[in-house]
Amino acid sequence: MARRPSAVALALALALARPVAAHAHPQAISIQVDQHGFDGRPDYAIVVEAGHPVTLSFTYSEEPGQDNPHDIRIKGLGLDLPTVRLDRDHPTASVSFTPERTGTLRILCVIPCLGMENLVGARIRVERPKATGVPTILRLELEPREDGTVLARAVVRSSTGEPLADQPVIFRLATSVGGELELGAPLTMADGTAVARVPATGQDDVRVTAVYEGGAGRAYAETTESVRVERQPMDHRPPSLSQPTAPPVLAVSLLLVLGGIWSTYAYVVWQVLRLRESS
Amino acid sequence: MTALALEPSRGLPPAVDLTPHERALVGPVLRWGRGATLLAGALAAVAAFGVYAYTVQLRGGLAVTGMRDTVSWGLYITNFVFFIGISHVGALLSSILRLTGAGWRHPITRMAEAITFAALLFGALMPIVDLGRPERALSLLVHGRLQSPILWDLISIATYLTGSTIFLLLPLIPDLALLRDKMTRAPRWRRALYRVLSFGWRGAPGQRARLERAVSAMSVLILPIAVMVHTVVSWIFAMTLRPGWNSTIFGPYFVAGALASGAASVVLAMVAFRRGYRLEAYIGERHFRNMAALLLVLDLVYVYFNLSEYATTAYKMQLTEKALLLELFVGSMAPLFWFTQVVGLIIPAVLLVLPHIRAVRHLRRARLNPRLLGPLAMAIALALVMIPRISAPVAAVTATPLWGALSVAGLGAGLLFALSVLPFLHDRPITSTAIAAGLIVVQAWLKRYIIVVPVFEHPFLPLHDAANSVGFYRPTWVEWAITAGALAGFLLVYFLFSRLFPIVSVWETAHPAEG
Amino acid sequence: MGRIGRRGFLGLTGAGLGSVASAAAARGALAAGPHPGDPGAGNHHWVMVIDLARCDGCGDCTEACSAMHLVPAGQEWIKVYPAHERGSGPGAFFPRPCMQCDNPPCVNVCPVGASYKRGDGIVLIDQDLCIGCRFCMAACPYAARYFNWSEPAHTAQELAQPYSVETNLPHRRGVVEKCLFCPAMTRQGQLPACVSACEMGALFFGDEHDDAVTNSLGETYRFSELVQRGAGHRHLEDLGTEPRVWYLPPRDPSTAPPDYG
Repeated sequence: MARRPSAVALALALALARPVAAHAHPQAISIQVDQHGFDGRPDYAIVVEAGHPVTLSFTYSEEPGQDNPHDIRIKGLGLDLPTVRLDRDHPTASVSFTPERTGTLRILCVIPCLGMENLVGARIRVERPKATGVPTILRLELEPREDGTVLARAVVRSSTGEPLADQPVIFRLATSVGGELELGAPLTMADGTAVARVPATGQDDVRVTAVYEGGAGRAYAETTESVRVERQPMDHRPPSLSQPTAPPVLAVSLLLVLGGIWSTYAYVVWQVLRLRESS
Repeated sequence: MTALALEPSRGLPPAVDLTPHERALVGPVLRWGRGATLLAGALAAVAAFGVYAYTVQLRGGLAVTGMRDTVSWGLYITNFVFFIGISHVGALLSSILRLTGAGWRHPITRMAEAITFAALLFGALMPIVDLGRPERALSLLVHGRLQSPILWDLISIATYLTGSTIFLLLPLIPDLALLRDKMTRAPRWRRALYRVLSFGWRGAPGQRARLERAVSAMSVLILPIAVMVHTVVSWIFAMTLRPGWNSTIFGPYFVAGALASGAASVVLAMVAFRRGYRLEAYIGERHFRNMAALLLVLDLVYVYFNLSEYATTAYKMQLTEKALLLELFVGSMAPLFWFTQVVGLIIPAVLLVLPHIRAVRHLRRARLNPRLLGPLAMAIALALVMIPRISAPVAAVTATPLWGALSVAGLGAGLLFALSVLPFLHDRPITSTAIAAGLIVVQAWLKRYIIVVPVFEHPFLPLHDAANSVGFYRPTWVEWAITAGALAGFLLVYFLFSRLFPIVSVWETAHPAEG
Repeated sequence: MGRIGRRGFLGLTGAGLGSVASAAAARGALAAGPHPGDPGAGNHHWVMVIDLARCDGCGDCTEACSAMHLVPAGQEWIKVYPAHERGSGPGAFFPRPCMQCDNPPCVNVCPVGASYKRGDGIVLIDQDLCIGCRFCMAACPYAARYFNWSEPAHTAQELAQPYSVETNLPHRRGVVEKCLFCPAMTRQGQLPACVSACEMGALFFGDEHDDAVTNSLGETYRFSELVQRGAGHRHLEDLGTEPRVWYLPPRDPSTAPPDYG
């Protein structure tokens, strides 16, 4: 016989079923600082989540006998954080902040110190936490058009194959210099498709990333596609004064003027050459 | 005329069978004395030193000059514009005076055309000296872009040089025939030269008609060519956006300056040849009087253009031009600038008019002794400067009190000195005209410097953290040596021309009544 | 000398003019060849945006540029000017690369076509052609060009490079050089040296065809919107040079619109 689940059991089941809102990235980070870089690497990079507190704990790890101080600053994203001093007398320090905006922060030493060149390139990438939950299926199709534009069509489906309507899909275009330009964030229609148009660029290969950020129990999904495009030649001709060859008007005028002058010279020279046989 | 003794000297044996008129004018061609050797030698030495300086530049690059990234044009471009400027004298005298039927021009047309020829040679040389890659100069022909003002320069200077060579040669033909016939004992190369270049001239009427046609055609043509040449030279500057050069009147402004400096240079040539070759009978007061009138008009026209250029910009004091204008009027360039305007243009105008001002004679009665007055004037001026009540307002107007004081002192002394000298000059119109011409030529060179260099020192983007050596131009010995060498070379070519060909046209001056 | 007659004379003149014209045409064909190392424009149209609010005058851009191109001593192809009237703070510094103007005065006046404008917007200098007349330096209102007054110091590495119009290496005496928007880097999809070196992300660079500009911090904005919303302007615009470098005016950081940091 079917037993109705008790309220307690239901609550328990729901609790277990609900995705655990665990942090995808560690937010308490310790970093060694010495003349060789942050954690010994000049290109140190970490990723943290926006909207959650971050604590960076710095430890002075110079070799004994090396008393080189460092002043550590964290710059960017509108955060005005104090500079922390690290030296023999203050071997540890920490900085806490909650980044609200996404982007990149830099960690660097701001005094002329030994190893400064290894302490300027560190970056903290702040990203929005990626939602977890029921997996979503995201498909992207790129359709080149005759006018050089590309139609990007994304379809968002649940794991059971049902199209999800009214969901925002972010389209990003890879640019010629390695950037990603957001084209828009249209909502999906009833059939789960969202469409964005990529304007005609100069690139041979158009690479578009579609992102479904998820939320409300659905997981983050991202997919990238690229397509070869028959690109239109976009020629930018400089003004006529800047071109390698002269505009015809100028050339013809010069030719006429000079032609007149040099013909007269020729006439004069001819007269002189005929002096001998004149009487 | 007959006082012209043909000194037995090294060189050429005298020719026979010359009329006194011919002997007077052909004399320098036949002679070559110690004085000539000395002069040619000195000029050649200076020119050679200029060539040596250029080899230094070829070895070390343009870094041996004072030019740097901020002031990237200097003495070479100044010389270029100066030489092309004085080359306008040929067009002026031979063309304009011929077309207006001025009969008095005959003795001086050839010396004017020779100046044109020599000046164009050295003027065209200067931009080549200025190139960072002179070995690629021929690219201008192979890869030249017609949109560039430098190409316009190349074309027009080449055209003008050809035209002025033709124009120099044409009236020379009858004189060359004379030399061919009479200088029978000259060295072979000279005889060949005269024979080839006289084109079988016999003085026949048919030949005269042809020559006349040719000369008429050239005299009409050469004037617009000359105007075109200096206009495109000015457009090297005026086709850029720099404050100080971004002016619409540069074409006529430069042509006016060129005509004035050209006329002045021919006056100096007149003085030199008159004295050196003893041509007083051919180049007399009448010629100086007429040239003085012409020079005065050209000088005043140039003053008018200077006024147009500087008064209009000064009235507005547009921000981009303000620093430049202040430097010229009251700043570090002020002494040079006001020298060119006052001493270089206004005072020559006064000197040129002086012989006609009868009232000056009364100054003689005042018995102003120049030798006493000079130092006295300086002392008074200095004393005035010491009195704060007078020196303070002056210092307020000029940027630096010292320059203000010295300017006042100098001006005062100059004025008093000039007053004492005026009657002296009034009685000597030729001297007066010659001094005026000398001042105008010096002014021409300095004025070109003022047009070229200070504009670079006041660019759009400020020189906040630039070291002084980058912003402010100090020409080095290499540049001065090349400048002196070019000048010496020019004078040498001119001098040798006057020894190879008669500098005063023999056939055109044979019948003074002809116009 | 035979009798030529008027017809003969006119024929001679015509022949003369004809030969001049054909020589000019031949010369034109000769000159139309590509410049060494110039593989062409690609389908790009490069543009730079400099946010004056972010520039702190550190000079990393100049250092990176000088290091990458082995720039001769005394030259700063991207030069950071201090704007003294602002003291310090936003707007106190003005980085000036070559503006790669669309109506370039330097190209217009070059007598041999050594300075030329490419289809991707970059103004390049062919140092095989340059005669060192420095007319381009007189014409440039931005003081962006530099001349090698003496033989620049060389390294073995530099001398080993084949000459390419995109790198201006090896450097030569007597020719002009300037910022080239790092064409060798952008060809590989990377940002120019100055842009990637900028700590503050003040320098943005991109392709106008993408309508996107990116900085060293990976921030990418739509170029047309950035310039419009940020009240972007170009330096000395009324001179008509049509520069391809836009400046965002300095603004108080506390009032910064959220769009661009």
